[in-house]
Amino acid sequence: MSDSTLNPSDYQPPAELGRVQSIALVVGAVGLALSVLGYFSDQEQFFRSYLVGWVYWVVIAAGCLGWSMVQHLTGGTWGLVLRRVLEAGSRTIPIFAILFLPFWIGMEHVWEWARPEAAEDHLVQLKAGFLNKGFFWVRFLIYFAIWTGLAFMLSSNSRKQDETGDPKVTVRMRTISGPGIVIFVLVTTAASWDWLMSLLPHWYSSLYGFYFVSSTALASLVFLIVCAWWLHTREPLSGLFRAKYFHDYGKLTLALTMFWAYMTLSQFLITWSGNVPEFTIWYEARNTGGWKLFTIPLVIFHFFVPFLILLSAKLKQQPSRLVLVAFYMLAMRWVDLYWQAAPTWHENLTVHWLDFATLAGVGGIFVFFFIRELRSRTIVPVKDPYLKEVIGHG
Amino acid sequence: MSAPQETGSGLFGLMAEFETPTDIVKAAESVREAGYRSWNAYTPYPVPKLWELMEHKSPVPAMTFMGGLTGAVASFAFITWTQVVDYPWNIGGRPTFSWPAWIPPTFETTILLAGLTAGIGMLAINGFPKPYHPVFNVDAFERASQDRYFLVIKSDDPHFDRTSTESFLRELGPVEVSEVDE
Repeated sequence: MSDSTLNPSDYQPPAELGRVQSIALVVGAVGLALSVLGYFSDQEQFFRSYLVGWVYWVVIAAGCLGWSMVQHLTGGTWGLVLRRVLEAGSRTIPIFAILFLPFWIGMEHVWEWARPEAAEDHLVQLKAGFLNKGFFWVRFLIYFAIWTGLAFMLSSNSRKQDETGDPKVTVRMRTISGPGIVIFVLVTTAASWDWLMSLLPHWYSSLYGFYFVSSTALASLVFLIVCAWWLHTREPLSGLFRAKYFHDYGKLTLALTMFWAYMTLSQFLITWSGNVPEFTIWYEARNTGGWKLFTIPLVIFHFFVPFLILLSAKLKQQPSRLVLVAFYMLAMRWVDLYWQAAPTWHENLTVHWLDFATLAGVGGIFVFFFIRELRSRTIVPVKDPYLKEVIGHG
Repeated sequence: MSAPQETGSGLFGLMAEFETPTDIVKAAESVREAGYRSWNAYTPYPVPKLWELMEHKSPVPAMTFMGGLTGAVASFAFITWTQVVDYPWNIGGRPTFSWPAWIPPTFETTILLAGLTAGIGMLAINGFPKPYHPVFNVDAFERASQDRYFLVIKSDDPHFDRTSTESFLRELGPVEVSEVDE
């Protein structure tokens, strides 16, 4: 089994992917159809729900790009078996640019600074050089150009290697990933200011971007665990995934759960210590009007529960159990995201059915295109020089 | 015996020397099947399968967890006592029970005690520092840190028998079987 060339026909994507793809399309279509209905009944609510649903999934796709660069740089076999999944996820990024277009007509429902009344708000006027519609869309294009550029540069190189088996491609992908990961984090940080932080233009927090990036890494990681679990139960990858890999994914999830808590707590602690109105308004909104119902459970269920569960080495080595934690964290990611966005619009605790319709709509479309990318190539990079290590360890 | 060492007072066990990790894993499987429980393996680098075969149950993870928990509770309780009970002080008009400020020291103490327990606990449970160990009485054992794999069945195992255990070990295809003196 140690010969350097694997037979590509042995590593075709599992046929069952087709069924999942059609389910995703149905879910996406129904979700989007309901969202359109919602648009006609309550425009304001539609755009707000749509932003949360869109951000929830776009960070997963962008996170796939981030993780693929981390893998190119660190070279672990845990990520090598997932490379095609990471590439498929990152190649869906342009889809999200198209899915964002509805905001062209509905920005003022979501972002306070985009409304005409903002002209009378002194502080918002001082920030208008950055927070204005034109520059917002220019930045949007820059973010997506960079994300898409990195994603397609890496995945097309990887595709080239599938044909030629040239080990130089590995070096090239690593060279792209070095500066790529730095640029990726900067772009994602800036994106968080635009899409979420500027919902409350009066607020200041220098940690928010990092908080957002740590959530991005966590959300995409748990999504990858679900993919890894699904693939490892089916041919042709059932022999390639080891308990050790799932142990690694579990350890990363534990680390990122802690990192998420570290970031949220740091932001809170700095705000709490300073006790200055420009900083505290954000927390005030989240501790009044019933929003405490989200705030306190977030601490318990987004940190303490997964932290204590993931301490167990045995659990992390069992894919069927780890995937339950992954599904749970995917749900908690929504709670956290909703908690970051919604209290800005609603003084009192509100959850609308449109929140779920848009989540399902964008999610279904994402998963549909994700699987389409996944099915278009072999399920592992068959000519990667390091794949021998994965097979050889058998 | 190739290297009979008659000077020792007692027998620590019998040592088999193997050339490859595959050989020692295969041998360890047979040793386990034969019912031996008091045995150990010495290899130049970690061989995960051996660890599984030994059914090595380490109390260190549980100890570390308890250490961390102790650190968290003790630190939080101590700060609460100083700030609320023993010497309440008005700091910026905040309530005396200002728990957010106590999270960083609580976190640090948790890490500190968990780390110390893990480190010291590991040493204590391994019986370190240990200036003398019988396995070094076998000259060939030097290569345990280079390129050879050693398996020792200890004489305190209920199944241990000087002659039958030796012939059992010889069947496993070792390079050498040696006596290990106490």
